[in-house]
Amino acid sequence: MNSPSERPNDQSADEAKPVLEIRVSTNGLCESWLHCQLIADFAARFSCSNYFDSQRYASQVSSVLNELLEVAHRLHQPAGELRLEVVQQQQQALALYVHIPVDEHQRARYRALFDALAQAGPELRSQLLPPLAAEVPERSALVELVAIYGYPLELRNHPDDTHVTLVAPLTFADQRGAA
Amino acid sequence: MTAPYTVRLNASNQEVVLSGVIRPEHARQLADVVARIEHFVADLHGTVFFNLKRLRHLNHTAFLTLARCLARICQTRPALALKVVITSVIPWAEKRFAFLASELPTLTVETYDDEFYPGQKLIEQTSLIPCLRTQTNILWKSERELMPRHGLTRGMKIADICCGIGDFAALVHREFAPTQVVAVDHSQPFLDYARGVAEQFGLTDIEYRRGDASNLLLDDDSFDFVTCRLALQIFDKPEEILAELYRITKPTGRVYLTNEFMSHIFGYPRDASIRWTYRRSSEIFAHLGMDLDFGPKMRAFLTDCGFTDIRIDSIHVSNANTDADDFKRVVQSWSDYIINEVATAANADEETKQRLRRGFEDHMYAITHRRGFASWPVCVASGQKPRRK
Repeated sequence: MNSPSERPNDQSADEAKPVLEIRVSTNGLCESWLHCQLIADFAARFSCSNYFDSQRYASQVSSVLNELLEVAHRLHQPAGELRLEVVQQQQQALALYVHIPVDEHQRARYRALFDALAQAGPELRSQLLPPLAAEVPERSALVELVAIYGYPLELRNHPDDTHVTLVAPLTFADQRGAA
Repeated sequence: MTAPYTVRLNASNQEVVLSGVIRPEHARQLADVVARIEHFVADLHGTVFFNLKRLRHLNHTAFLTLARCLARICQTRPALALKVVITSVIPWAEKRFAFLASELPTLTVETYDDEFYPGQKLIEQTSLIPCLRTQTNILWKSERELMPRHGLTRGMKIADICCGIGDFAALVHREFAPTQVVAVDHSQPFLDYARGVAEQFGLTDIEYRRGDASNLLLDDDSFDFVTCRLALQIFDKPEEILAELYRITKPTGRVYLTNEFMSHIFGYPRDASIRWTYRRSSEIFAHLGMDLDFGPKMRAFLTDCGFTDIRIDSIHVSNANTDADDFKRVVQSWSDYIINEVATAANADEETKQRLRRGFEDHMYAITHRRGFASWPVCVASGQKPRRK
């Protein structure tokens, strides 16, 4: 596993503590839709087990991670290894890093998704509900995470262009009832 | 579809109940659900409820499918009110459905556990913590002896529902070495305190969860021994909680309950004043939807819920078997709480409050009097969940 300080542009790297790393083959992940849920639920439960309100936090982490894995599943990655890292950044904050193998075509698709998110600005919420003729479910899922939940999702390119990383920082303190 | 979920259409309540985990890959996998909902609401008028209290996960695809179904209903049936009922213990629900309510004019969202039983604001007060702690200390020495008769042995998987400040779960953990303890309460301040108690005891493996006792996010048939102490008496629908306790208990496992018999607390001397105060207190609680005389009713409720091999006991706390200072401190807490909070919430007049205060003082007098005798009866009951046929 990379040490937290090796993650590019991670301003909170000094405080970051690795919690969990899972490596799966993308072919294996994509064999069944259920795999997204199984990985998300396991990683969430494991990562939140030491938090006081573990079930509540695990529910939040599982929801977000499942959506990210479903995006990866839908985009059908080329054969390779998908690596998931969960990192504790502060007392009440975790970050999810999903490192996804990509070829040039896939990288462009991810970039297009995130560029569209950035360009939409305040209009994002209004895009969610009306049925679109050619709806892109992976885009719609990311729109919800950003526009409804306010998660500052980020797409990072790996220096050698073989991977992209989806980054989702989660803060528990803003949740109602959080300890 | 990848995970178990249920859709129940309850015509008598005009309610659609979704529960479980709904994470489809494609919207079309929910076509049947959408068709059933649309068909169900077609003949309804007034308000239709969408009960999502036990919906643990809903992925984006499912949310969007449901949202668009609701949007269609709003558009085609503008006179129909849609109310989505969620619980605050599921973190993804509030923002999602708040967004939906902002988009759809006839849809509202109710977070039902903001006040899901009538006395909730009264019960979930941090001022009660010292009283609860002392109560547990007083009752523990009896319960420790009684619980094995009610089926508790070492190495069990235990759930403590309505765990309050968590001290009972910690004591059970220390004494009976369970393989797992999950303790659930709705009050965040109580759970915060519970963590402190667990740390004091050096216990790191009690899982404290915030949850709603009538809609537990725990699996069916998963615990050997389920406890719910001094709690059914504060809910207006104890049968709903009991049904949940039954559901999460393994076949042949047992549910263990304690509840009070407040109107029969007594003391001597000054017995008439004491008796009046507790009977009146019980009436005031009843006025607020709580039954502090629930203790003797447990056998009936357990039987009606389907439990077998019901075992009954009582704990007779008195100044003859309990430290008088502890007992007096508990009564003082009751006095403060019932007069300042409960009686005030029930709009009791000053004369009633004065008389209540005098009765509590007389009870404390009896507790500490060298010739006095004072009691606090607590009923204990347990039932076994039968093996499946």
